[in-house]
Amino acid sequence: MRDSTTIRLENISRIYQVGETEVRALENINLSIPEGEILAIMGPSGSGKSTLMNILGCLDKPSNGKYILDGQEVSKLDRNKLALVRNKKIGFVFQSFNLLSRTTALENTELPLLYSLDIPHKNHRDMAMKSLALVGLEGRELHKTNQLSGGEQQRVAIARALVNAPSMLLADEPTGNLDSKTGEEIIKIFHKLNQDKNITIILVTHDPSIGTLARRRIYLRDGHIVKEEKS
Amino acid sequence: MNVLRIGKVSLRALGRNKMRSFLTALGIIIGVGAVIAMVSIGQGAKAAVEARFNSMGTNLLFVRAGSHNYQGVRGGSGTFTDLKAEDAEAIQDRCDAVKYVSPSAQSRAQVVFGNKNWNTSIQGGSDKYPLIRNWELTAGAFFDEGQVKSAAKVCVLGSEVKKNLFELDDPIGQVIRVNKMPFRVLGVLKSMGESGGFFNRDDMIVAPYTTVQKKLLGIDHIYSIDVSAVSADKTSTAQTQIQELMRVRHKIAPGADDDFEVRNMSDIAESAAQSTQILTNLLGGIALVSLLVGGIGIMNIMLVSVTERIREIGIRMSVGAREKDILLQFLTEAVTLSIIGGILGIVLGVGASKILSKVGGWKTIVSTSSIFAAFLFSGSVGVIFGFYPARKASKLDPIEALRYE
Repeated sequence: MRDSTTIRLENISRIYQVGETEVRALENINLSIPEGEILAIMGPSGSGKSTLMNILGCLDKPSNGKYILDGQEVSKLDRNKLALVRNKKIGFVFQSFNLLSRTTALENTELPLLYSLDIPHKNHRDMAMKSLALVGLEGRELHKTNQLSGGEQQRVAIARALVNAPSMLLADEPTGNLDSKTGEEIIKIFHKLNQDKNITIILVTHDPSIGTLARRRIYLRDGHIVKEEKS
Repeated sequence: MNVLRIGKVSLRALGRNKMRSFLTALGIIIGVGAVIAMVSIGQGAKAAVEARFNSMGTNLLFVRAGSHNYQGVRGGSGTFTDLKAEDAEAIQDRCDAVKYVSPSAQSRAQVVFGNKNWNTSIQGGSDKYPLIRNWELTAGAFFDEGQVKSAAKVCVLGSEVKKNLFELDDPIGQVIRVNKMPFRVLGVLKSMGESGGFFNRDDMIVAPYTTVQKKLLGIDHIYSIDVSAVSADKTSTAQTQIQELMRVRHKIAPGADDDFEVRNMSDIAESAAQSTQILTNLLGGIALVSLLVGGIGIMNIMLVSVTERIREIGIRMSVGAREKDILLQFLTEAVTLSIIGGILGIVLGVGASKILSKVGGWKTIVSTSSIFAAFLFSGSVGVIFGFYPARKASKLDPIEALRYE
């Protein structure tokens, strides 16, 4: 049975071994994120928010604890199974866009579909076009990424993240490389997607002005959740 | 993610670096081209040798005075002179697997006609000689038994000698001088064609062996006996019969070594074919090394390419590419490079062997099996040398790869 909780973290720890010393990047994190929430993970650099994002995004595995995503325990999966989880359930939006260069917006958006196991090829183009339309890039589909502005590139990244209808969007400093006006537009897109499609959105940021746009904020310091706010 | 679409991704990646892709493939192009050209030369040489021996007839046998098997004990000149014309007669009379027999002796001499002269070899044989050697005449006739018995100063010209002494004139009945002795020309042999390498079979004069023995060499023994068996499959029977007869005639005690040597043409043809096969293998082997070097070139470029595209690999992994997707992508790139190189290499190799046979006059044979093997090999080179870089790419950590600058 699927409950309305998208994400549940139970006693998550991540310990790196650096030479002889152990670095505890995360310690005993407990976190529940219901479907349709906008959550901001805040904290200074070195607080563990990148590590948390990597674990939430199934790019990394916790050293201890349980991570349940959409009712599936993903903390025990191997590399290749995690890749499939990322493909189906998680859409990434990065600070530096991370688009393929010299490739069109359409092809970038199609990229996750290329690796999906169950979506027939003939649907790819339509799905990518729809996704690009959602972020307001109609007519720019065949532009190469280097012909697009920063804001447009980030919108392509959002379209790519959305194309596979994931359970959540994971945005790591999505406005960090944009001017404040473009940044606001991107945040507006997130809100619109959240309202229209009920997509769970997790923003990782150290920028308080972006953070206040989220309905719920958690603050990390030295690998612990130190504060939680709702607005 | 099916192979076709991976192929498309790989082709585009190669297309972005056209010059680099071409230079990388060049190693394979040259390697495959070299393999095909070298093997075609070797096989051409082998075919030429085989054709030459086949045209001589596979039922041929030679009896020679012993010249092998010396361990410092034997080896006096006496062993060379005990082969006599009587041995040939005995073989003709006593061995039923033998059809024709001809004693044989050779010399070289300066031949003169009018104001032209030419240095050539004088082959002495009996009247059966053309039957053994499958020779045909374009004009005149061969000498007969009586002329052999009487050691007549008559001869038959090879086509090359005819051309050099008479050009277009009719030589029949003319008298040429061989070592200042007059020889009457009876006939002209049909050209047997140059057969590469050894010696020109058209550049000789045939005379009765008795004449060569007595008038030119001044000896009473013969150099060898040419024998034809009744058929090709009786060759080894004839060989055994000759061996037994010769041991009796030469009074060789049981267990002692023969003072003669019997060889048959198919053995000789086989050993000649074997030596050209060794040549083929050697040439092909050297060319294979260049194909290996081409493979190392592919590996090198693929490693560079993986390093350049770590970020791309990270992006692909973050949207759900599995290890095998990445592995396949880079492997396909390497294999595409090597297969394109292979195809161009085949074109180059076939072209090179055509040019070699046109310009160099070498007989070359491009076999489909060598094309197929070269193609297959270039594909495997791509797989073998592309695998390590592709695996390296597929094992990257997505977090590190995304962070890579």
